[in-house]
Amino acid sequence: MTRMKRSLAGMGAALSLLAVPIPALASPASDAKNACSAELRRDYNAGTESVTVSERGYDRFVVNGSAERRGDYRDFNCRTENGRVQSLYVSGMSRESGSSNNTGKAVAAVGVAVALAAIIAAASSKKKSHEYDRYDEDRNSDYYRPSDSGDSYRPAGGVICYRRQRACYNRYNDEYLSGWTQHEFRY
Amino acid sequence: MLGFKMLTIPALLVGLVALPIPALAQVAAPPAVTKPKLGPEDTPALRAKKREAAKRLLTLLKPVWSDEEIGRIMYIGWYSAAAASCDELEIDQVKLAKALETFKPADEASLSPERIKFLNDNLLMDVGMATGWAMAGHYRDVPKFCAEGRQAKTQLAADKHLFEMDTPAPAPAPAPAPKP
Repeated sequence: MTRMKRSLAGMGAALSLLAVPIPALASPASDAKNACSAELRRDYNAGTESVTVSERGYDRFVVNGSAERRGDYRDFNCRTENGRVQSLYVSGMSRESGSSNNTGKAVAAVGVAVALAAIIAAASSKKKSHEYDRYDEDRNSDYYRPSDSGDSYRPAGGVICYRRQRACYNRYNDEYLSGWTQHEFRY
Repeated sequence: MLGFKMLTIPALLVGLVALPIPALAQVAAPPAVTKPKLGPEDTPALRAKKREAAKRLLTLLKPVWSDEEIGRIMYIGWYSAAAASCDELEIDQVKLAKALETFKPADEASLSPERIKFLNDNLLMDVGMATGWAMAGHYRDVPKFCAEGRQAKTQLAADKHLFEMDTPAPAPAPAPAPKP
């Protein structure tokens, strides 16, 4: 864990190099709209339509509109302050991914990473009646694949590479394959 | 961007002598991935869980980062995970900083401080998640994972991986000349 902390501390230090404040050019209203749209994309995997922004003073805004996910439209209400989302509510739509960013992202990172570890660990438990036991292992899941179907290729059995991502994965369990990535894209 | 820069110069040189890129010396092809046999350590449920974890991770990255940036986040995450899991592997902080610097937006001057902070926060979070994902995916096969890491460290050029290189032990001090 100490090693992990050291790695993350190094990342944090490096990231501070990028954190140079630049005067804002966008309007506060569009910042509010963008913040809400980003939150919807991130936490609900949803796009936005018919968005309206109402100013509430002191750099606070209320953003309303429709959230669209796979053809399903739901009303959303989003409140921002100083360009940050304070609350986001989508009527009748559950979160699909991510976590609320009301608290520090670093904390969320640890939490989600632990959650991911827990997912894997849970699979090793003695419980075999999980719904994933019925999962079709050969199902082609395109959730994150680049939209261009010609983007991928298979340099060897069980290996699938994505040109735009410049990365290769194990076709059976989606593990990242560092060796094949190096071989194909020479980072 | 880092990978692009690395590829650009060799590609130009190759173009000058009209040789196809595959003619360049390449890293030996890793072995094909064989379809895992079912066993207590590798069940359809575990595979499905791994795919689900990948899905969750990539679904989080997709709205924020381009495909190429996602590839670089996975690259950093894999090396960070190997360094965190394997005693003999350490991340080279200079290389890591260089890799992270490639995420600096080209149009940064036109971005608001909030947007820059958003990107920085997400980069930190997403590299952390990619690291956690890679660690979680390999916690059952740490020796194999570490062997892959050692292989990358020893077989790749130093600027192709993020590991710290071993510093050679200092040469022993010369024996004092005998006094006349």
